[in-house]
Amino acid sequence: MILNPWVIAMYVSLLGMTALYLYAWIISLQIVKRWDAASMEQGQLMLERRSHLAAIIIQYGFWIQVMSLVLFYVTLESVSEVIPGAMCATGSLQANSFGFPSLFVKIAATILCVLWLSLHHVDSRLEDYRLTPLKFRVLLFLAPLVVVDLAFQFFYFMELDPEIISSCCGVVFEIEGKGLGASVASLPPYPMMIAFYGAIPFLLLVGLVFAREATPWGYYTYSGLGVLFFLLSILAIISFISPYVYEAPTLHCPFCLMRQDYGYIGYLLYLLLFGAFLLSLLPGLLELLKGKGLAVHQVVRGLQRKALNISLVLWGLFVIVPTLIIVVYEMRSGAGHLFD
Amino acid sequence: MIRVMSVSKVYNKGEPNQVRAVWEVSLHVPQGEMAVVRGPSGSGKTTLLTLIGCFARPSSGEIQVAGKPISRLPEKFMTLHRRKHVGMMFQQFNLIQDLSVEKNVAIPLYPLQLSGRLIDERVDALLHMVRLDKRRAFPVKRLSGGEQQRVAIARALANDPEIVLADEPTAHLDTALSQELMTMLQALKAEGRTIVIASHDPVVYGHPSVDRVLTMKDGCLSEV
Amino acid sequence: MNRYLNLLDFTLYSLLRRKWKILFLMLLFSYLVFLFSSVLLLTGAIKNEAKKGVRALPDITIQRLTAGRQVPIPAAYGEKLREVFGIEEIEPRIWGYYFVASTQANYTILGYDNERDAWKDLGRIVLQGTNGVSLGEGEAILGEGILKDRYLRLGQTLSLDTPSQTTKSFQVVGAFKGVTNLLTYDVILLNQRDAREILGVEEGFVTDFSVYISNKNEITTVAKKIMQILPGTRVVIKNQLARTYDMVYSWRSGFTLITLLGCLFAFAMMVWERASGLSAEEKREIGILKATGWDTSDILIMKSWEGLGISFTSFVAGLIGSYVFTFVLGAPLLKSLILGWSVLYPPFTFTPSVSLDQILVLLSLTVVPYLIATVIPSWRAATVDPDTVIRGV
Repeated sequence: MILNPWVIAMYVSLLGMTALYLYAWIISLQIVKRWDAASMEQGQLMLERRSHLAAIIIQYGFWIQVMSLVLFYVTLESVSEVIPGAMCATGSLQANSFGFPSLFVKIAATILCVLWLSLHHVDSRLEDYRLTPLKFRVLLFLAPLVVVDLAFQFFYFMELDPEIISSCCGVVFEIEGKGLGASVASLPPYPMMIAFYGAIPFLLLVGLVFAREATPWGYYTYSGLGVLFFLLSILAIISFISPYVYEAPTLHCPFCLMRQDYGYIGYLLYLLLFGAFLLSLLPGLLELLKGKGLAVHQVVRGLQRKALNISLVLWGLFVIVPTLIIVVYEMRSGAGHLFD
Repeated sequence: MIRVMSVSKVYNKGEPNQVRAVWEVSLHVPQGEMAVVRGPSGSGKTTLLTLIGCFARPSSGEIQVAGKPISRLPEKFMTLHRRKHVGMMFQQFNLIQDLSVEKNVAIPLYPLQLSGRLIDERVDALLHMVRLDKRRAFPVKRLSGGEQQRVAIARALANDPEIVLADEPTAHLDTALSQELMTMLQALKAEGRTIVIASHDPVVYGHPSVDRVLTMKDGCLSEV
Repeated sequence: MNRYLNLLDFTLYSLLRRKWKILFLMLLFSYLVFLFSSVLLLTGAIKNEAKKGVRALPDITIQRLTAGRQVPIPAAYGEKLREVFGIEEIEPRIWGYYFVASTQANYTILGYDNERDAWKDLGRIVLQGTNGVSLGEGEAILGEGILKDRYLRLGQTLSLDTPSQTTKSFQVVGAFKGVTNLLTYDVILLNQRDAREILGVEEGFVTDFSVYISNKNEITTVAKKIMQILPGTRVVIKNQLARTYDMVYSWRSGFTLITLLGCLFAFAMMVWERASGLSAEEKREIGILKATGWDTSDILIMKSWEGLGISFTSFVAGLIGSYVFTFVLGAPLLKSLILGWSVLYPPFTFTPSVSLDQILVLLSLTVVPYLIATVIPSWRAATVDPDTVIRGV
């Protein structure tokens, strides 16, 4: 078990957040059981007020989630200094079986948080609490995920043992190595570039055309493409973007991008990527709500349009940033291309 | 403008201390009229005003303002409705004593999307209207009863409401000041605002600008 | 945007009206941040110093152990080491400890071999008094701690006893003005022959070997080979040392932080209690705000601004305080907790540094719990019924 200030900070913020989320879960249970929008009784008024509290908790919770993601990365880096064989966050995550699952649960919880807050945003603009029961049924499933996050975190740090050797990112993301990371790193860079740059105009075209049409299938298609492009982007980061950042064709680590040595470029890339991904999910997901009535329809329409436009901008920026890095490298290097 | 239809308000329903503050009250106040609700203390005048002003929801019945039902709105939309349409003068003034005159008047404007400059302009106009320009920076606790009443009026008008409610506005004023207050309310009525006053002061319900006087007793209403 | 700014304006005004009440809270919170921050900054600074020191060490150090204690190692082992592929350089070293009964201090004596340049790592440490390092017999270069302990200056004489109960004198020709006092504070550098004599290391033996590896990725592999050809020796890898330092200091700071967590919890409870107990005046004021057009979310924004304002101001004050305490005052008392006790205490000043990581950790340990503790009380305040103020209930 490794005890350092980063780990302690993680526990403190996670425990606080879990306590709040559990309280929000209890409120959700009360609302799902007793909500009656037509009632004028004091009990209903109390439930309405508690629904505000649950929403505030999730809003605070979101910011704490984001901070704990960054803190988790920083902790992994600090822990990598004491785990033999681990040179960066990848090595720390490899150190035991809770590492990567912990990371994925965290990311999933943050994404679901954003989606819930979007639902809340729509609900809060309606005059009749129409979406409130649905909102809290969803929260019944979201809140326990935070408990899972805490549990995984706990087991991960408990199991960390500085005596056990881990592998560094050079091994995990090794070309011709074994495992998922290695398979991704082994993807041929040039075809990957073609796939990546070929997909983006397609995505932008769909987005810009359907932005004008605003048809249901347009939104579903755009969101679906958003998911695919997100996955493609992750592959692109590992297969060719990160080597260009490190200026080394054999280095493919998706975490070392966030180091100071590389100007913290990873933070910018992932911020753009996740921002674009989440906002491109919204038009399709929100479309599902339109059947709930005219008022919902009107509120949702405005939000879909906004989400669509901002996501297009973010996707654009996400593609531009690594392209600039690649172009600058190729212009400077002179001695042949990186992957030759 | 204001339609109240068989509205009741019961506090602590089902408990030993249950109170029927308002019971089966119906009334209609057309736009631009001034109505006074009179009655003894505890008759439910204040509660009726809070229901009309959308400060609380009735236990049963319906209230409409300008054709729009307001009795079943979520709390947030009750506030939005009040912000747009209602200005209220409270029985106890309900001013924040430690704050200056201008800050008290500006309170309703803070949650709005107005720039600081616009807020200042609005406050200037209001203070000029109630003749308190020179006392703007004074903490309210240093003002006389009459002056505090004027601050309360200015604050009630900050959001330029169509409906002005006043709960016992002359409770802390002498006759002369009460007359002055009624003159100000008359001017507001002339601007097309709808005014409802709860008061048992003859200076108020006897004023010539009052269009109708209603009497409340034990939560029930009758017109005079 | 305007709405947030307007509400912020009102919040600041509101805080100023209650400044004495919240001052106590802010002082307490600043102190808590100060405590946490001092531990973090100090540990960070010590780790940095240790890292610098470790960088100057050889890749592998080979020692001989008998009954678990280090004993001199035959110089002939150096020949065996040449068989191991991947070793760039092998340097035999003479060094040891010298105990002074009168001051209860332990000096570290290092033997310097002019010809073989055994202490190339020391070349990276700035020296005062000599140009480069060239020590004749009867000469010594001292660390700051020795100079102070013996009240010596350059040019004066240091006397040391040999195991055969004779006394030898050495002229002080130089002093370490260490990049890191952590390594050189208690060091006496002597010519290798003198060191042998003082330490009683016989001819044919050395204290240990420094080994430098050409390919740094191969250090572990080479270390394993050395362990095979020289059984009975202890092979210490530089990385292991770095890791050990890191772990020790992380552990100590972690432990200290855990004891401080009790304070944090108590503080959070206090904040909760305080925030929950709205005075009649505060309740009335919120009722007035709600009665004049503020809704629940406006009050919540105001309360959030309040919480952020108090916590961030206290955070900055605590952080500045701890920066001064650690890097200007040298962290008295706290330093003992983290470094451990010793007579010859390096009073080195730390290189000031505050990283974003540390700030993130501090925010998580202080501001986040504070905000969490105020969420529910803020909401309770925000849901005060305007009706109650109107009816005077």
